[in-house]
Amino acid sequence: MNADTYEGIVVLGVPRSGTTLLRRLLNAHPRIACPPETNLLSAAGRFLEEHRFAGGLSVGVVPGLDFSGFDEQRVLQRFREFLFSFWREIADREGKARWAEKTAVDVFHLDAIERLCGAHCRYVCIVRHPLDVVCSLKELGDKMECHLPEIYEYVRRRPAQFEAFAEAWRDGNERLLRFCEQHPDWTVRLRYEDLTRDPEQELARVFDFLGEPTDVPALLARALGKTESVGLGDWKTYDARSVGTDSVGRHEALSKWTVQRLAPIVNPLMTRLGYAPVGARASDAADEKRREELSRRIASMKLAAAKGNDDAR
Amino acid sequence: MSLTAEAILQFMNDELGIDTTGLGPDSPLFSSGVIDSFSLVTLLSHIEQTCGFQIGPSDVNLDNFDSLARIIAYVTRMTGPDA
Repeated sequence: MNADTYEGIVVLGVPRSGTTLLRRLLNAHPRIACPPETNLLSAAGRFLEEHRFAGGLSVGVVPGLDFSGFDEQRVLQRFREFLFSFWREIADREGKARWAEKTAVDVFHLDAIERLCGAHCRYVCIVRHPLDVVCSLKELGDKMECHLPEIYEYVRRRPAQFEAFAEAWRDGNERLLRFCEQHPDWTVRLRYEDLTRDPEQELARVFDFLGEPTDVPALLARALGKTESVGLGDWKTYDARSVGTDSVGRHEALSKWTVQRLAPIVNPLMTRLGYAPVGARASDAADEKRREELSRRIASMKLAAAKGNDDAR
Repeated sequence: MSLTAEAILQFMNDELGIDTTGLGPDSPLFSSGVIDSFSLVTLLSHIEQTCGFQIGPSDVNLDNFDSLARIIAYVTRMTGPDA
């Protein structure tokens, strides 16, 4: 990769996939500044949103400005300069040649990021086992006492939280995978599990791709050892002093019942991302039959409960 | 596999969307309406799958399933105290 052919780096991954860890590692590179989450790209995604109406009419900033003589490329170019100017200044301040951007929800704004940043950037894409992601999203929601707006869209549609999180994982990663397949020259993909198991090898691969090879063992030694500007992001990674696999396989605490319900949502994409599918139902028909049997027994129990309540009055 | 009262409460909270605040071991679940028929089907299926036995037809009654303590007692009888 010729380092002169692009300007910035964008980290992409579904929230809770290790993007904050990756940010800290990138930021430890002597030539790369990767600040805490700026939210610039997700905000840019919202800024560029368009709403289509009957007859193919579209309402939004780009079609709106087109009426006044600003074509799409001109709008995007001006907006890109505005966004990039912040990251350039951050990199300048740190005396680094290149900037990188990471905000956890950016993957849900990939259409806009593709339009805005395109070939001007390279993209480091990280994926993680879906069941670990859903456990972590649950933990995040509990801790924050609310959901990230992009995740809330899923929770709003699906009262069963784990299924909502699994759908967010599926949609985010489907879009990410499509982006990687469409732009192999712009993207490098890694799995959280591989990064935590063998950070030296995985980071060397990433930095080679970026045209920014470096002494990775030295980078790892300083990456997590220093106090830095925290910002928003994974609170746990800021306590970590080394890259480890402690958070791999945390989904083993999920019930079999939950895993069976999530399997149809995540399995089709898991194999494409290099993960073994999780346990699907052995027999849906048998399970449904069993539930019917239990329902009938519970109906009898309900009658007994109603009778007991009547007797008590 | 073992099943604890805490694990049942967690399942009720996470999977069934039931507010388990204030529920004690002897709080009535079904007869009080805390848990409805649909949710109880899911809970019983979960117990069967987690504990590896099938609940007998005559066992589905309030004596066995109307409180956390009763559920744990029933599961313990079916699987043994060390299961």
